[in-house]
Amino acid sequence: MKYFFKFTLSSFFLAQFIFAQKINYKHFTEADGLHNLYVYAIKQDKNSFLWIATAEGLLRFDGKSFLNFNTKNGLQENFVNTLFVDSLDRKWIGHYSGGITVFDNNSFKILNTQKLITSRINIFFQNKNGEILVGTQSDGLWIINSDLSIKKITTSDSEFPIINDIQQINENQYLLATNEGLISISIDNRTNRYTKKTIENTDYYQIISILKIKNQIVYATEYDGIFGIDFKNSDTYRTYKLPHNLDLELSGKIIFIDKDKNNHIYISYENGNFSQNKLLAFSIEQNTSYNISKDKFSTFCKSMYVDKEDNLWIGTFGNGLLQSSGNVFLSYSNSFDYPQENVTAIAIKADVIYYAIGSELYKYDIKKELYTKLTYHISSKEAQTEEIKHILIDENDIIYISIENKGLYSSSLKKMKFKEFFCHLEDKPSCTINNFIKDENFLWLATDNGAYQVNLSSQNIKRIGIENGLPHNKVYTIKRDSKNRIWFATHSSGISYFEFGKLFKIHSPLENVAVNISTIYEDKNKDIWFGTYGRGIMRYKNGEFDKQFSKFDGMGSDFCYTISEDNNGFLWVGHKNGFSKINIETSEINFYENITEYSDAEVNLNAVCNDPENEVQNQIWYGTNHGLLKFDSENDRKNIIENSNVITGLKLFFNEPEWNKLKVRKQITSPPQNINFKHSDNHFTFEFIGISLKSPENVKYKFFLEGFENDWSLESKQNYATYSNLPSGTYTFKVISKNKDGKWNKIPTTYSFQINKPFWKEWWFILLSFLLFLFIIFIVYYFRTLNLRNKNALLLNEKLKLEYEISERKIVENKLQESQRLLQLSHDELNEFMWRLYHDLKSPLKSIRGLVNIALAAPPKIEDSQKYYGLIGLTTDKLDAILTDFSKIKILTDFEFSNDLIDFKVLFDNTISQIKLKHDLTNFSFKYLDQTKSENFYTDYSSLEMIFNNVIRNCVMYASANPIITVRIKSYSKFVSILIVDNGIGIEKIALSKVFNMFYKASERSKGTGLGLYITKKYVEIIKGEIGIVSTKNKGTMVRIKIPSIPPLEIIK
Amino acid sequence: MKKNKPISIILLLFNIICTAQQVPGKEENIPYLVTFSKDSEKRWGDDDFSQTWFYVIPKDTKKPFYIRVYDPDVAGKIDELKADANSKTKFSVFGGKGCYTDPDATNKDPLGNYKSGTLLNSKVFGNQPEFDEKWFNFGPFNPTEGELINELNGYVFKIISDGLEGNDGNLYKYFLSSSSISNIPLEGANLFTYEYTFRVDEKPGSISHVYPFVDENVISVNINTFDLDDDSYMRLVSVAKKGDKINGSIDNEWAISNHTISNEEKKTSLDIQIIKFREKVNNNLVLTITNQYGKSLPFFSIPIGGVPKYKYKIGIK
Repeated sequence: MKYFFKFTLSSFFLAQFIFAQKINYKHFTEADGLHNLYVYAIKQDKNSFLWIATAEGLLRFDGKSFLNFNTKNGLQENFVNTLFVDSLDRKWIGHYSGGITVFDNNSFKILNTQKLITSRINIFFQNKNGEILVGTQSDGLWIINSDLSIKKITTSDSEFPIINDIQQINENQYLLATNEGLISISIDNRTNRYTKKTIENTDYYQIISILKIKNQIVYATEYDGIFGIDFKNSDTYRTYKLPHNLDLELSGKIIFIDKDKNNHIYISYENGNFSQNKLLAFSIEQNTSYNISKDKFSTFCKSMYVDKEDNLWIGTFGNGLLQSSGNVFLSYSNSFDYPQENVTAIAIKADVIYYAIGSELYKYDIKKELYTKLTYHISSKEAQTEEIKHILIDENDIIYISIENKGLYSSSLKKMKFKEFFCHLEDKPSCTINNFIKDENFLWLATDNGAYQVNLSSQNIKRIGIENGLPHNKVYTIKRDSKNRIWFATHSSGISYFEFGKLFKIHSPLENVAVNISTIYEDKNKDIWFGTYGRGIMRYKNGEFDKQFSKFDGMGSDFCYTISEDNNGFLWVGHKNGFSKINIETSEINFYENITEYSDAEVNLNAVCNDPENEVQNQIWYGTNHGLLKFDSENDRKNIIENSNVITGLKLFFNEPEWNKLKVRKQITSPPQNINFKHSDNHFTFEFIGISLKSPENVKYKFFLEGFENDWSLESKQNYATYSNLPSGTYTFKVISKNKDGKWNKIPTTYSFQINKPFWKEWWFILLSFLLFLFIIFIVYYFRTLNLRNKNALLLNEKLKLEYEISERKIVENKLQESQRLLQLSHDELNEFMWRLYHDLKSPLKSIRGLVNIALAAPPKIEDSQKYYGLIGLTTDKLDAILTDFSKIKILTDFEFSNDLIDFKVLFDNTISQIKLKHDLTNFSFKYLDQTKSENFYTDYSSLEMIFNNVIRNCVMYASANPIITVRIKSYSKFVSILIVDNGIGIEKIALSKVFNMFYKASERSKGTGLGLYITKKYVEIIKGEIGIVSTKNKGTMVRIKIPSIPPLEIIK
Repeated sequence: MKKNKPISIILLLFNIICTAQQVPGKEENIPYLVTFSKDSEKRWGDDDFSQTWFYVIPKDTKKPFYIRVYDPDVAGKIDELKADANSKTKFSVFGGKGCYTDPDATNKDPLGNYKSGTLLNSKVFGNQPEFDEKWFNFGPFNPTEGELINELNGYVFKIISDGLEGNDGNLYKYFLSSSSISNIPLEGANLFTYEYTFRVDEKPGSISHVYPFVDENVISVNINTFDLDDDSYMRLVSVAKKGDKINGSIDNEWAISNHTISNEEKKTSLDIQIIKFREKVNNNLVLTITNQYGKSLPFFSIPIGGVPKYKYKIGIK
């Protein structure tokens, strides 16, 4: 038959297998930066950094990346064999060839062990005094003091061939685990001398580890199990084997034992088995078993460490590092290999999981940890290979499965005989059934062609499509809530529900957005959640959509495939890349990424189930493309450990600062603090990390720069902060972080620094600048003033020049005028002179002519002739005198000044002597009064002689009876005053103003030429002097002459 | 390192052909290695109560490996017990600097600093039936824990068996394995020794072989045997020797047999055959081979270049 598939469970082959429970490790390899896959030791420091010893260096892990240190960074050797973090947070690094490096105070220090220890360092141990004991492979036991000096304790290497572990029993007594038994050694603290005693019956054993758990000491042998030892005193002890439920035979020899902070004992076995165990009083009980060998990681666990957040770190030998962060998620598959098991549908009933892998059906008994493959046969070969889309088990233990394009099948759980559900119906749905639910007596189907309501009693089918008000015929999922509403999620975000026989359409925020509703979930508060393809999830509460979460709010993705709720009330949204855990109350979201070891693990659409009514209610089961995935809320403990924040880097303008130029030593793991930066270094990027090894991808940060900002930044995952154009000042960068469970740091991590003021903001520079400004103002003022002065001077000079030129011109003009006046005067004088000359010469000449005429007319008598000749002679003398005066005038025109030293007395005497030659001076009384001072007086002697001669001669010529002539010479600072006084006839007052004119004769008695005083005045003017005359008629005349001293030039100099 | 040059050539060849690292090798027809304890008599077949084997792990090997010892204890039917099993044998694995390059390391006698290098692990075995006829694992070892010898293109380790107290003979075998639970050969790895102390096959007519390798500088070799006894004789086969007689020692004595090496024999393995012609149990033999300068040549458990066959020549007049 066309629509009939003969589906029979032809055989129910019950094959039961132990299911492969796989602890989900994070696996770190070369691709993650772990460049060497041999991990020898793992330790955590106080900053929460994980330190990892490898064969090719030391690594520091911050949860996100590995930082590699090797000899280039200061290690003594690249091969790191063991690690230890002491109480001072110093990292002790033991090398393969005997080297010891200490990482302290952000730098590596190499201990001088090169010639002392040549075998590998196996163990560091810090005793109660803080000293470090070093156990070596074949160089015995050493002790390192606080000053890092190292001393050997043991003297015989053959007594201590291999020291694997050290434990302190009391003040001076230690237990050494060696490959030749357990050795008790007592060390004298002062001398370092020791006494050794092998614990009885242990010398055949290779002792590999010693642990001290509370007051109990246990030690592990390679092959003979784990023992306890109790000391009554240093020499009395009791050893006993610890019974256990460990299968040592199966696991092989013990590699090491170690403990965590909770005093769990971890045992590593040769064949990759690894277990966490509890130490009871006299036995060991296994808690959790790990098998990294079966998980294909490694066959050998070399080292382990449980960090502050209870992450278990396993160092493998040859395959890197494993991290197990609690068994929150466990993978289950039928294969230890890479499982290609795409679980498309899943259902739970009475602690049994029923699930489909493609076209195959399985069940898994949770309690028995057994899985069974359910083999069945469908008559149609096509249906045999089609994928099972959905599984449902009802309260009557009927199991329903929908097969891609092939309809719905059902069977009882007991019989497991499936038959096609609609085989007898003509109007059965012919399209893919995407999802279905059971609602009392109805089966509701979500198909590509609408929703179907199947009455299980009557077998009636009712289709609900767009004609009934459904937003779209393609129905992705269907859900019944606690109020018996049937919810439909249709194509393009259409949401509607069916209640009381009616269809109600819901107007959602995504109504007009072309995204699909992928899943529907009702939480414990009876609120409906809708998961979408591309827009996160939204809540429908009290008739409205009141909440929406998306990637923006912290979800791992906006594409949601499952929604479920754990018994702690957290909502878990499944994405392709992980799960978003949502605290509905606080809206806080954490994203769980990489929850399985398979990077491509994806949860399938609506492949989720849990049963809140059964014993495993804390579990939620998911179907993934790599088998089943179990979430266990009991293991999802809140992480109350604060992150350790470390400022890992500082960038200036996005580059590493040149620390050398800043005169600070570059520090290896974090930037040096309290640095004074230049004012131009004002662009800072702080890199920091909040270390949460449990969930590094969920760490969020807040930071602020004190001194620049006033408040913290918004929280974000950004682990760097950049500040630009910071002004000078003192700053403290602060950062806090929170872990995935919202635990913030109480105390921020800080980085303090200072940006120096530029020199132009320093007080001294401001002061200097001010002074300089004043100086410049002054200089400007000064030079401007000087310039103005110069200009003024120039102008003044110009003015003076002009004035001088003007004055010169005036002088010239005056001279010209004077010359013109003088010329005129000369002309007048010349006219007068010519007239006077004519007159004076004509008269004598006429007299001489008259006398001649007389003589010619009548020869005179001899006595007359003599008379005539006498007259002619007188007349001739007169002419001669006239001509002599004329010659003196001539001398005036050719005068050359001579600076002669004048002796007035000699001058006076010479003048009197010359006058005596022509005049009878018998009656004359001469008085000479010399009132000169001792200074020398210089002037032209000949001119002064002429002046004296003329003036005194006039006194002689116009003297009265008892003539007295007085000459007084009086000297002043720069001139002399000469007074010549007589008691002669005097001069009319009216004539006084004319006596110095040429040819003027003031008296009838004048026998002269009228040129005497004229010539005198000329001479006085020549020697720069002045002459004045005062006279009273008939009483006398006084001539006053003022003459300056004009010394020769050399005397002036 | 001049002395290693010939070996490096050997090992290049060896790497190509060798995938099994069992000592004694299958081709040798030697049942066990043997180390007697200190109180034993040398005439029982061990001249120095110590035996050293080197193994080279190729440089590019990343996976850990094991050195496995079969029947390491001194008890049970495999060992040569003189009275009660009162002996102890100490097996020590060395790596690190000096493991191979220390001059005393390759000396045929356990003198001086022959335990050079870093002791990686050691274990003393006595009368412990739990190890009887079982494989014991040393390791796993990180290949880089060995001494890097670039000329050998790998990391060198060594394992020394020292007879301690007692007078019994410890018979054992080695296997270099990548697995701790089965013998899985480590690709490209190989083992060699400079003094071979072993148990001779007991069956009359059986032939045991050891395969020293002669390099191109060898012009003659001295084959030194200790305690061959009178139930066997030895001969030398090579590409140029059809079966030269080797002067064998008598009980508790060394014998030296000198042989010239022709050009054809250079860079090939020699086949020293020990032919058992009379039944006698517990015959142990010590063999060393030195070149013309007295320098020891290495024995490989598997013949380099294969088992040497005499090449017949047809003379043409």
